[in-house]
Amino acid sequence: MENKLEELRKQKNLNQEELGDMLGVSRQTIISIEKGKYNPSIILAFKIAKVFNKNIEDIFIYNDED
Amino acid sequence: MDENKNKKEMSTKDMLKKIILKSAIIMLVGVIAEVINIFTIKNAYFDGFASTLIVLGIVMFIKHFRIIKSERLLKKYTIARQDERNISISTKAGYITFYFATFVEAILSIVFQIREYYLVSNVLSLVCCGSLILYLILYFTFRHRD
Repeated sequence: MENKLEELRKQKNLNQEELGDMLGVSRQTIISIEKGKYNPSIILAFKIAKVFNKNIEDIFIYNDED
Repeated sequence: MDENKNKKEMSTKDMLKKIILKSAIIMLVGVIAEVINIFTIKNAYFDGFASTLIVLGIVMFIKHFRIIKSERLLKKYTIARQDERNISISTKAGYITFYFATFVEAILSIVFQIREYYLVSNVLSLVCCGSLILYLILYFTFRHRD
């Protein structure tokens, strides 16, 4: 699933490890989400949205092919 | 969020203390088994089993003791333990291993039966069928519960 996580993270001047610490996940998980290789659970998606103060739909882009 | 993190690290510390205690018990059981082996049983297989327990206990003890003493390692360990992707990968690896192992056990059971190694074949059949029965029980239990 496409997402804007990398873009939002850089806007907030966070590195992957810092974001991972804030969300309680590993740096590898952040890397996988940013590359679109891993889709987070709904709970993690909500946590990500809360960190960036946005809606889930503003961060994760759902396509019919997903 | 910081309060939640502290709570999680505390519960991880409690879990680590239990693991350290268990590793000490494993080491002790290994030492007792080794002493029994030296003075009574005198069997190489039992000696290997006892040595394995001692080494396992020592490795577990040192690993988890280092983690509990270092804030940096404790934080990394807490995150790694609860990381959803790690859990997903571990679960996936587990069920692929289960299917593969069950298939191999079934094939080997037939091979050993043909080769007239009946005891080995029967044990493998038992393990294979036991695994499948346990899987079915757990599947229907979780399906009913969740």
